[in-house]
Amino acid sequence: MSLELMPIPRSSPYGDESLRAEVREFLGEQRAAGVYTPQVDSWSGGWNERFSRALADRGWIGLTVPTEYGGHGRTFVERFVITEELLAAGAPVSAHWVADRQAAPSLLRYGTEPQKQHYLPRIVRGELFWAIGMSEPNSGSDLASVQTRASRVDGGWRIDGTKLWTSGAHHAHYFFVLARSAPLDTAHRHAGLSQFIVPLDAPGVTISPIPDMSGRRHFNEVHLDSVFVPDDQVLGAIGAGWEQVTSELGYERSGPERFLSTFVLLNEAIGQPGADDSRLGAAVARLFALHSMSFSVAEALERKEDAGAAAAVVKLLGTRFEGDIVDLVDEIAGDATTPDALHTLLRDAAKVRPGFTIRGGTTEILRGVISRELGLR
Amino acid sequence: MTDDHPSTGVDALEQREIRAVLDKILAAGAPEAAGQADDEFDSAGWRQLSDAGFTGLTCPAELGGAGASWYLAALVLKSAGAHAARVPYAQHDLIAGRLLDTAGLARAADGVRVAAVFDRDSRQSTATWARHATEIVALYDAGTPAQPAWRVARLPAASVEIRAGSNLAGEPHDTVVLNGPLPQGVPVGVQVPEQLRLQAALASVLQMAGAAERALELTVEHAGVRHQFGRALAKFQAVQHLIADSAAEVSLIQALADAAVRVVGEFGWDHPKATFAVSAAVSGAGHAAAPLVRNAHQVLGAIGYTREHPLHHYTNRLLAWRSAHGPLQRWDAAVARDAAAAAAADGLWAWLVGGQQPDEAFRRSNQGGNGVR
Repeated sequence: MSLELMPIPRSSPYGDESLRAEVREFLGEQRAAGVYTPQVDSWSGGWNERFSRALADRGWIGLTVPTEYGGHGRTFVERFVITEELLAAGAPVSAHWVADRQAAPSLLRYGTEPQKQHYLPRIVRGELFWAIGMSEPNSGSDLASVQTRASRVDGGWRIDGTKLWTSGAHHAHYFFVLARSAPLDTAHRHAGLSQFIVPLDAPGVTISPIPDMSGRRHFNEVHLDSVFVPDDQVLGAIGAGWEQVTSELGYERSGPERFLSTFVLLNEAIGQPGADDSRLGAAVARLFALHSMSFSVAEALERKEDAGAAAAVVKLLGTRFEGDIVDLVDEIAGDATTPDALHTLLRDAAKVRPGFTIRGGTTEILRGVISRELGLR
Repeated sequence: MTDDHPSTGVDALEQREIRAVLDKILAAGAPEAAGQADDEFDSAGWRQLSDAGFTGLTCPAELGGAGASWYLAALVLKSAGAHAARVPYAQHDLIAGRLLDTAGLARAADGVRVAAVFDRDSRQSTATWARHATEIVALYDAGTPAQPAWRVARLPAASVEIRAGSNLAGEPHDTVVLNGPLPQGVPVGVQVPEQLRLQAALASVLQMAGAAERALELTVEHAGVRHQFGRALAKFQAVQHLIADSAAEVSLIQALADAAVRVVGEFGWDHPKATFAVSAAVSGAGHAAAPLVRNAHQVLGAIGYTREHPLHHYTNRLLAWRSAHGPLQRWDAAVARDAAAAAAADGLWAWLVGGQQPDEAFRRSNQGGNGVR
């Protein structure tokens, strides 16, 4: 139990400035070539395979994957810097996002040698895209309650169930499916869960779109009807699903995607003539705080420290901040019948904003994580 | 991977050890232990700090001091904040002390010094702790509107009039009044007043970081021992969430304070990055204080806002210190102006996190343009 939630920073929060300049130059080229235009929430709603390939060609996907698996063997801080630059620019990184930030670390940690050799180099090359099959119609925050079943069959497993909110499933190649491989023991709810690597075009997989209120399709319902998964496509250990899923949370919750989703909007607002509203200044100051905190977690992850509570703090504050930006810009700029750039970004942001504090661990769950770290629970 | 930071030479373990020494010294004078009023000087604590070498921490070695940087001074400030310490450390070492160093004037071995800044034609200046000072270090403008000419002079406290005042926390927030001419001072550079302003502001933020820590401790403690409906307050989700939010704001205050110390340490006080980092720290810490103070008092209930309970010493200091260098809104507005100027020049993002912005088109508008998406 400690009241010190954040790691001690080891350096000023800038990182390699020449690396930042490199990314900016690359982004300028991509924009000039018409590959993308900046958008809010670009890591979630910006699926652009051409852009992902271009990033991969520059060596900026799979940065921390070891070179023996085709990766670049670079540091978490370098990855942090590059990711920040991409998100601040509203660049469309959705296609490779899950593969790079969740699938690759999971495979590295829990994958078999053949799995690592097969999947990692292709993820690094920007060829393989991934989705996450965890939530279900009756299982959101209470992930341990998933009902998708994995039944033992000859040579593998048969998966039956329905996954929900599966972002990108309609475009991705594979997804990790969290399923119950042993009957629920109410005294040990987290036991008996396992993870499986499932191709999204496997027989028995049906993908249906769920448009969100912006009309954007990134959510899906994925139905699994007797989907066969061979033994060699089990991820990690049977029965270890819960530990495997929760171990990555420090990575998933602390990154720049937890406070930069609406930076493009803030940037546009500050770039307006006469933009000197003091509340914009307060927002910039808070942004710098979140950036510094997220940076310090990246440093801690590089040192292989556990940063679960720190990551929860970053996400708690950051995702609230992202939404507050939407409110603030709306208060200052209002709506416009024929929207200009600012109002277009504002409308886009307003439509996706509810998801910020829900996805990847709700605000309420995060407060529980922090409470536990403080010794309250 | 080493814990050492190359420019501080103080590793994480050493930091904790030094902080422990400071906490021990200052605990005796804290509201929880001592019965003194907020405007009374903790002379015993000051003597111990002095004996342990802390009051001359940042005095350059060649002038007889420890020659330490703000990384160590930050520890003193945080500990002082965490104990509501009634000692003018920031004034003595970092502000008035540094003015003397800048002017090439020797620091007195003993006594208490505070700084007072006099604008041109002004004979009054606020100076915290002035009534307990033995010496006033005056920074004054002897020039013209077109050409300021800043000078540093030292005045025995007895030679000036001190009007007592107080801030929200009841600390001595005094006014120094000059009733006679200033002695001929030593010229210092035009950047000095601005440096002093930033130093004083950062010192307050670091003190806030300490007070915030203590407010959180008191909150967590109380939630663990106060029982209602058959269990500790800490077991109620609603209470857990109030405390979790508070803890997050404490983390934010500390992050901004630490980042500013690092940026200043790396780039110096005159660098635009330093101006921004300090301004962001004042703004961010100031706004973070509000939910922290609110939630701390909410958890502690009625007992938390009695005079007897120590909480108000910390929460009122948070509120006092966030406004000690002008209203928060003024700092916010300054950041907004600088941000807008940056957006029009090299781009907001590059200004915030550094690095060149090589692409002209990108610089001018990292924006959607028409027909975004």
